[in-house]
Amino acid sequence: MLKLSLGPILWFWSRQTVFDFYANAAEWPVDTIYLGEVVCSRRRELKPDDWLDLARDLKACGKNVVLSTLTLIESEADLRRLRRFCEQDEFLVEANDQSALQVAIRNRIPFITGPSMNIYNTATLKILARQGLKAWNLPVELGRETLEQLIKELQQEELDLPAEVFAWGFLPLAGPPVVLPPAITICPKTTASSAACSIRTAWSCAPGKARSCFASTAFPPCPAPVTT
Amino acid sequence: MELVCPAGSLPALKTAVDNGANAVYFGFKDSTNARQFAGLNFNDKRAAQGVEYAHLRGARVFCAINTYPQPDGWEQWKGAVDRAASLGVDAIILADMGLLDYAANRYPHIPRHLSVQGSATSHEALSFYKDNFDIRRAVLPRVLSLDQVRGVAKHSPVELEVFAFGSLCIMAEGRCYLSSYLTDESPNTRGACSPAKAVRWQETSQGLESRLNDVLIDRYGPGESAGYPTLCKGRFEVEGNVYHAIEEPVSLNTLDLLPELQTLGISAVKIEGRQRSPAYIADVARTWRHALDNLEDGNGSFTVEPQWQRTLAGLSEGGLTTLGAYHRKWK
Repeated sequence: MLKLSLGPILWFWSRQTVFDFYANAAEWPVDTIYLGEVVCSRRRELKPDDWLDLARDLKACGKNVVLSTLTLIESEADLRRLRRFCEQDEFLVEANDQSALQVAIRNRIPFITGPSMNIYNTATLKILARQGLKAWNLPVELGRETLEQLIKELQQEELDLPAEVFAWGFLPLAGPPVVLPPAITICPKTTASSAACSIRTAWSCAPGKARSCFASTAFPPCPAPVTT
Repeated sequence: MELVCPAGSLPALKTAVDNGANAVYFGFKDSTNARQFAGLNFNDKRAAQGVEYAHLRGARVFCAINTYPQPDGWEQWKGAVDRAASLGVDAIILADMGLLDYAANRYPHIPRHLSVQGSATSHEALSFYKDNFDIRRAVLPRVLSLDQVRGVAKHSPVELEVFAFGSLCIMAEGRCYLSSYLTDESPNTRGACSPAKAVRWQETSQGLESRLNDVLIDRYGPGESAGYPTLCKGRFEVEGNVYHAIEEPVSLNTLDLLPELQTLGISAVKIEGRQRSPAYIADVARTWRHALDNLEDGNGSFTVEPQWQRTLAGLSEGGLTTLGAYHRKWK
């Protein structure tokens, strides 16, 4: 049966907002919940220990929990935070870059891969399967045909590697290292559940013809984080 | 430090070598490399001529096969690795793990360089590629600031090559899917960011408009020079203001940082620009050759000659920035 996962929060929310959100999420009909800061290393409302405590709480509520790593690792400090997730064996880890892969593999921690891990063919899947890959996410730019072919080839190879697909919400299309100016519009309020997989749509393309052309995961380090 | 220059054509390759490049990099005329434009790149015959020309003059040749093959392209991409091997190239620049594995097993003696498209931003990531595919060298993404490059270099298990000059990609290379959102191609899938077939230009009463398919990317007033419409460098309306909301088009120039790059143990500086003319390549290669020779001969003292900066500024789009300049405000 097709399962439902709640992806990691891509927005910059206050600590309390995050806790309130997950208190609600514990009641939702989702099988798996992903926790962790995946977008920006400067968002430090929650520390690794906070995420781990949250993970234990959600597990106690009957949820599968996966810890998600930062997508763009840039410094030793980022690596130190990464190691907190990739050196524990209480929870499965979603590796969002190759630093996470390396640390998880070295510590023999089973892992899955997020949508920003470039898995485009079965050969890549086989390499990662040999090292501890348990499931994988389809990169957001790949389409149905490729997904079908990959699943078919995995079956032919008798590899049990469940595929997960980003199904609802704004797509994380790119992660610039720069932060956007604080002038970017705050997204209209949405319900907490619908905000889960969302990224703010910030731009329209022409005055008077407002159409959001795309969204980005990049986010300014607002002095006061958004509260819903 | 080696000077690694782009070769989008045989004349450009020759010019790069003649003007002091230690190595040149090229791609085939298909989607196996991340600079896929009409009129660019090499067929097997030209590639063989280029390899011969470079080798006779003591320069090395790297073949870029740095896009990501999907199942229906797997045989073609593997075939590209085979072609590169039979040409006798000095290294293959790769990004896809499956292809790295194929190259490492089938042609272990041909050095493998990790492309910037591999998006490895830490020494841990580099160790992953070293341990699994025995890469010799990695090209670092341009998103890293000098401090961050320093951090990677301190523990890097492989040689490092750093982009030194040319157009900038502001997103983390290899993990940007913006082009796929508006067009049916991207750097990873087809080697094309904002492919030409999706570009539309239209003169309107408000100015010259550039679009990708039907999405307006920019509008130029009289006297403004129009740039190629990539999604990340457009001007967008944010709360009533229209500006480069994501990033201004700037070019990279790390001339000032050469002594530091040398101290960090960087093995090579890479010039961007396979789409550039041979004349451009000549000017850029010559300038960087002078700079690197000065660095070598200077015994610790190195000054940037104003003439070099003038030449490079004249060849650049928009402003010039150095490594991680756009980080400084926030770091």
